[in-house]
Amino acid sequence: MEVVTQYIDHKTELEQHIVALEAEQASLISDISALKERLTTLEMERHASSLSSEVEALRTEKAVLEEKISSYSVESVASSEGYQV
Amino acid sequence: MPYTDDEELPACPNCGTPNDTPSKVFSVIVEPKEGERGLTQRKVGMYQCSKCGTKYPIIVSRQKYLVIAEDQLKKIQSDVKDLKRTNEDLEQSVGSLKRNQEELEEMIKEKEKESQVKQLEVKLRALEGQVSYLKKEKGELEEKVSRFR
Repeated sequence: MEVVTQYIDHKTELEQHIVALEAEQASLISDISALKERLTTLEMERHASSLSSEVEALRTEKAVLEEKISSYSVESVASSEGYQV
Repeated sequence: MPYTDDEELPACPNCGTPNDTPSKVFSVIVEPKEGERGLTQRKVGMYQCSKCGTKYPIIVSRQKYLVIAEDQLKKIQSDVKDLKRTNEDLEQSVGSLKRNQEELEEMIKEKEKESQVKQLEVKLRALEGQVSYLKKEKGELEEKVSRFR
């Protein structure tokens, strides 16, 4: 009788432990899925931010270059007409 | 010999009046006819009709006896004794087999229980491994997410 009781106790204990672990497993899978999504969003935000900085730098560089080109154009017109600028 | 309700009472052959109590019962031994074996003991009841006073006999019972040689009877008795002994041995064997069967059934039940527990333990170990792996993966992901802040 004692052996039977021990068996039932052990079996019940195992089943309860399994149920608890299955719940934890489901919760972890859900958390991991949410974290992966969050990580992807963060990586995209970082990439977007980096791209914005690069675009801004390129715009500045372009503006500087355009400024330089325009200054060369004015110099060239002045020298060809005998004016000093 | 008293008659029961199911039996038909002997009736007077003269007037048909039923009568359930014989005035006298005596035994008659009848020798076998040609081709027959054994003797027959008949119990004959003498009845007297309470109405018309007619006396008439009715066979109350018959018992057949076979006459056999003493050697043959002893052999039969010996055979019966042997058969009884064999029967007792067989009953003991059957009892022993039944006990064995019960023990085996009990053992099978125990093994089935052990097997169930073993299966649960295997499942538990596998789940523990998976949960541990998932915890590690979650920790790594949280670490990566925290680096973005």
